Amino acid sequence: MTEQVFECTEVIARVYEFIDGEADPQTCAAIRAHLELCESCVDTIGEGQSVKALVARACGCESAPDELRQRVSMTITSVTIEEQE
Amino acid sequence: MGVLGIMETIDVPVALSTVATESAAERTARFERDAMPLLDQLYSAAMRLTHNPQDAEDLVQDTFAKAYASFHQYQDGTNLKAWMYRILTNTFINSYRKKQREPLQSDADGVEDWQLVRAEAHTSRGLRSAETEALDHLPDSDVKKALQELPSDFRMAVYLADVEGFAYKEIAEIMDTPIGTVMSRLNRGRSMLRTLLQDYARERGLIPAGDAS
Repeated sequence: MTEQVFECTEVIARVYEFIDGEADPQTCAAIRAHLELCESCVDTIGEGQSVKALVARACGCESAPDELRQRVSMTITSVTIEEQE
Repeated sequence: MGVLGIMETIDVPVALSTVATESAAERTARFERDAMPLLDQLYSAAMRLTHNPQDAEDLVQDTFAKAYASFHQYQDGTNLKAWMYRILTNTFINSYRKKQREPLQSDADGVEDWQLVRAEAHTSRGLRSAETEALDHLPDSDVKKALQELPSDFRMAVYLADVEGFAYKEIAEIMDTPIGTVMSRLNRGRSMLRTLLQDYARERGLIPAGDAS
């Protein structure tokens, strides 16, 4: 059986599945085979990975204020006390 | 919503089985052990969703109150983070989004996803690599601002995939939508994001303006 090699449009349609690790093994193999031949698609994948990494780096690192932590803890404790009464 | 309002369970997914034999004190201890460590993560997501610290705090407070009230329905060993995110998302949609009066964004408005992915695929190779590299030099504040510009459904899908690393199937459950819709939201959201980030990079002089294609 010969290995499938995608065309550019087939790769472009699956860029995000590929970089999110959601593509099945055959699809990944067909994409990788295309990337051996096509620098433009290498760039497209690279760009998608960069933006994904950028969001991961910049957008998820807030610390909850102590005041919120206390409010949430108090809510839990007060509900527990009400239940026990 | 006050503490007693938690009887309203509409935002809380129903788990398959319940932990019936647990005392209130045991449940509280389990909640503090398993759910409280998620506070920072959920606060980060709430900040991205609501745009402002006060609403983010209220959203997280409501989310934890609802989660605690329904914690007896949560099945130990299943994905607690996804369960908490689902409550957060539902609470946001039902309470906060209405308040923020965001225009509804259609998931299907004509343009094929693959057309959005690489509209300028014929830009020269060196230029594209330089553009991609330039994005890495953007400050975090620009990336947050760009994410903020997306419609909230797109923003949430991108956030859940890129920051939390959830699988498409988990995002579909959290957002209560088919996987195809998740993929469409990710495609559109990321295309918009890339365009915005390139604009910011140009404004900052990281990409020479004359090279804009």
